Amino acid sequence: MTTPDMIVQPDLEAWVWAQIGGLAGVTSFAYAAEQLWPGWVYAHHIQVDARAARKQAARDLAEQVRRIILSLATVPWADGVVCYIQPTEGPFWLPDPDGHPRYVARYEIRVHPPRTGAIQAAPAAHPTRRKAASRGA
Amino acid sequence: MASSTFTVTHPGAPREAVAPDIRDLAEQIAADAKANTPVVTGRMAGAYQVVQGDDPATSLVTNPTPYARFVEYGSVYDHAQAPLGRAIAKARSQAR
Repeated sequence: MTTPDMIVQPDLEAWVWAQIGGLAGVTSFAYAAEQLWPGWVYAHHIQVDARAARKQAARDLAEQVRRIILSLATVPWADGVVCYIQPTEGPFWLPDPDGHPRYVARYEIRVHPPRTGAIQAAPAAHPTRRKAASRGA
Repeated sequence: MASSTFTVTHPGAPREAVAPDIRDLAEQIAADAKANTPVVTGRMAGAYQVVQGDDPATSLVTNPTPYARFVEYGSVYDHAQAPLGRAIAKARSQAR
């Protein structure tokens, strides 16, 4: 039995971080990802936190990030194509428990691979499972 | 050229028509969020509510637990668990 070819999906989380990771006080992570049928497009749900010493600076940082993310579809990316961007929450004010200023925003970003090289054969051989070492008596 | 004139007698009818489906969707999101919520005491997991919004086609999923925002969105001390966010992500993908 042969394994069907695979659609190779790009790493959107790393791509987003490559765009905004240079901004001090910004963190981002994906909290959900869903394959949309039939598997060509993936929807990633990304949260971005913007922290700064003052509330206004945090808000300005969140706005800067929002603009970068909303323009992701226009940035050339060899690994894939950003085809949909929707802010789903925020940016809104949510300071940390210690009162440190923070703005939070969430985005749904959908991506698909580039046309060339997107379909690749499944690995010829899967890593062999190691047999559990038996313990001597 | 013939023309027709229509009079809208009930502007809110479309929103009232979809209200039951919106309510069902909100109930499903609340149930999924509850299932996604980490349980220590069970206080937060058991506190999700579906509240009627200002118009018939709006339902709100709320959680009055004081620390729910930090479980949902994380903080400088803890990673976000995003129980509601993951439930909404699932609903958005199924609604397509």
